[in-house]
Amino acid sequence: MATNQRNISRASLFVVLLLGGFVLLMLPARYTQFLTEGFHRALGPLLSVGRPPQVSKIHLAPSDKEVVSQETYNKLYTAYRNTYAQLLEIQQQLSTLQRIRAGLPTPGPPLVLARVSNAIVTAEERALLVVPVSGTEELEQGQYVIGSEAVIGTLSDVYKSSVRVRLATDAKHRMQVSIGRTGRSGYIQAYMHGQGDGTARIVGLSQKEYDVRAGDAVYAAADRERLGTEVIIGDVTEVRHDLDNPLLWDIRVMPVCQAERLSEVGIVVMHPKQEIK
Amino acid sequence: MRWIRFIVVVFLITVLDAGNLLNLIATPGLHIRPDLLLIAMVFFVSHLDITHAMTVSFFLGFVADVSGELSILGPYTLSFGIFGSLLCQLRKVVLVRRMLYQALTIFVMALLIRGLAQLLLMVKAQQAGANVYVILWGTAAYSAVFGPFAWMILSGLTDWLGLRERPRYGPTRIRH
Repeated sequence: MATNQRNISRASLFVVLLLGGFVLLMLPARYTQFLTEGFHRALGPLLSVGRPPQVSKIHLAPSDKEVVSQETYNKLYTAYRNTYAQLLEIQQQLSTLQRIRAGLPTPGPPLVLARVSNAIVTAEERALLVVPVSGTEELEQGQYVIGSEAVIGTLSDVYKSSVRVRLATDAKHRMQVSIGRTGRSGYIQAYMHGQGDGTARIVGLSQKEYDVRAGDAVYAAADRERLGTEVIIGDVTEVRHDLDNPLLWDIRVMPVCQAERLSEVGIVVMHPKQEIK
Repeated sequence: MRWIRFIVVVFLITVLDAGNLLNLIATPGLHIRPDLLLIAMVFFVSHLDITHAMTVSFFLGFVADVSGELSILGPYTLSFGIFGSLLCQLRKVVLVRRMLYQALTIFVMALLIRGLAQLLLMVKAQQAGANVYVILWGTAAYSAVFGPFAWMILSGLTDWLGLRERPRYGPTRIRH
């Protein structure tokens, strides 16, 4: 009898303890965390004696709801890497555009960034083949091209996905320029012809009327349709009498930018049909 | 059983088990350490009568929950309690006097107790530990290797704690 009562007592004790354990298990953590936190707070100095763990004792892994299959993970990771590469690309484009804009005398007009795919430097032609990053919809012949903070030429041909930039030094290139000098108000307007040898030439200026010297700056003339303000092209390197007409100047201009070495250029679009990204 | 002394011993074991001191013998990499509370539970269950063994099992499980790094109570209380109670029922079958059997008992108990605790943790927190199987088997093996030596130390405290080596068969006698 006594043994039977003792067995019942043990069984009851076990059930009570088991129920107690289940109650603890069912209790939300916010009601029980004070015990664990209190233990670690009270015994913190004692527990910290020794070597700190090199890895966490318990690593919590995300639940199934937060885990995707390996295949989905690979797809997402590939998409992430592509997106990240695009982000870097866009950041680089913005940086380049900002650098070009910063070099302009006033807050410049919208620029279309373009990558140089090929540089053509022959006796007959000096040109760049460039690929605009945002398409060629906004582009047309005659638009100015800026590289390394200076005008390097104009668009001569617009194709479906690329454009041809005729450099200011090309033998067939002709553009209106302004000659300026520090300390002198106003510009001398003239036309500049490429020579095909890496330089350009300005003729037709009367020696009597215009004071032009070596070292004067040559700018692309401002044009309401093409360019908002004067942008540097090069410097006057030589001024001499025109052999054909001794009353006029024969002026040699050296571009400030070696266009053939550029990898990126900006195309000035004064009146974009839509916002340029 | 002298309960105050028992509490002191359990406190020291808990501090060792939860503290950084045991990291000195932890395995590098996965940071596997012997489970001192589990070893102590197997020791006490082997030396106490069934009623006290059950109580001590649940109590040591509760202590393991409180001293754990998760703010969740219950998993170790239940698993220590259930398997501790089961072990004290099997004492007549399982002989834990020899070191080899002590190691085997600790190994099996560690697998069962920590396995059930992990299961309950997953149910409660919807979370599972990383490398859970490696850590489970590693802790069980390390506890089994370390256990007999800890057992020897605890055996030295049997008289001080008021415990007595239980005969394999026969009635339970407790020193008062």
